[in-house]
Amino acid sequence: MIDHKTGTRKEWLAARLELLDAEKELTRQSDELARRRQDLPWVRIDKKYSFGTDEGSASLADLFQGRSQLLVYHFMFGPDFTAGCPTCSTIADGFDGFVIHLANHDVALCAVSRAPLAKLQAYKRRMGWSFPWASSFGTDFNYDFQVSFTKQQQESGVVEYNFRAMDTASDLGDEQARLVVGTDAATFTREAPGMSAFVLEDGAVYHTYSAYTRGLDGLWGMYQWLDRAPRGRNEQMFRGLGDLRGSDWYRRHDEYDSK
Amino acid sequence: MSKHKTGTREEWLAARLELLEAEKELTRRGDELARRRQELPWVRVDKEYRFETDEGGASLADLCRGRSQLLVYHFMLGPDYAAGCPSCSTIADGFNGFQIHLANHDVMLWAVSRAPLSKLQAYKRRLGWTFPWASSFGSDFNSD
Repeated sequence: MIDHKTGTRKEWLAARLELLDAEKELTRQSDELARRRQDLPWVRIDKKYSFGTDEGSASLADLFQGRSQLLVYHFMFGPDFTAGCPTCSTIADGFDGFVIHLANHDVALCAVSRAPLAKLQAYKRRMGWSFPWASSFGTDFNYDFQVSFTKQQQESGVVEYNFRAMDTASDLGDEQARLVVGTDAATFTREAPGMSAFVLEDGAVYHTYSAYTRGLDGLWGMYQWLDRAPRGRNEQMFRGLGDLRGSDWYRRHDEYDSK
Repeated sequence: MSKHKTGTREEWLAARLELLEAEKELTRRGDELARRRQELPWVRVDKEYRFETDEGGASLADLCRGRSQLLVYHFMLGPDYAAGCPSCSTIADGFNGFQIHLANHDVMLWAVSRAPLSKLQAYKRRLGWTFPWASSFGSDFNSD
């Protein structure tokens, strides 16, 4: 006999209907927040950034590739990493498949990382991805959008991330960091995940939105499915930088035993 | 000049922080609903369903492939369709890339459709997908 409560289809349906009302309420609330995101004031970006891309060097406006909207996924891949962050890789496994739909709906989705372009290109080939991926190597871009921190900032014990001061203590050990990205823990945690949105109008680029930590949940397809699985997320978390939590069950998609 | 409201970084940050509180509240409510989903009573399925898969005929239990959890995406591809539903296809474009992570976390994610297997296989090849896709052709699964 199983431990979980069982019931008849009728009992299940009654409980499901009650939950459905709560789910509908959540959807309405989520739609309302999406509307409020669009209401945020736009902040004009006058700073000149230069990115390395497959097509050569590019400005922020160039990353729009003719669209009026740009969504940047701040993919954790520092210059010293030997491979991209495994967590970011599971997010990219999802958007790699649907970036083309956004590109045909006036939205360019581009990953941006601090590693030199050649490293990004090699890892993208290894993973079999096709989304655009730009290198912000040598620019302030990652620092300005608070997804990279300097050694000095990190050693001060506090960095600005997810719109607040966060202490830099982490449970991540050097050994674990070396296993996943080939660096010590301090180097690994000088990069953080996030997304930022931009709009291009009359030749000017405006920043409109950024999100970090659990603000990325909605973009992370596998967790949307797990939130509907009988055992939920079913994981143990370790503490990364500040509010960041890592989980150790997933690997890069080419690192599982095939079965 | 843009018709949309523009502002300084400080003005944006003030509005963003207010929105952040609302987003965090939404995340908490979302977590609470995920918890409530897990509390739903389980309903034993005694009916025998037969599916056709790349590996031959399969029962519902076979679709679990050794995992304890099964998530089915009911993909709209009826026996008379010439191609899969475009909306379902955009959803599949997403899970095609991450179903392997679920498969390594005790969760099998399958698409199930009513078209005969050969139609599903041809469409899957055309779209370049690799997720498992079973045909429920001739069974009550979709209607149930």
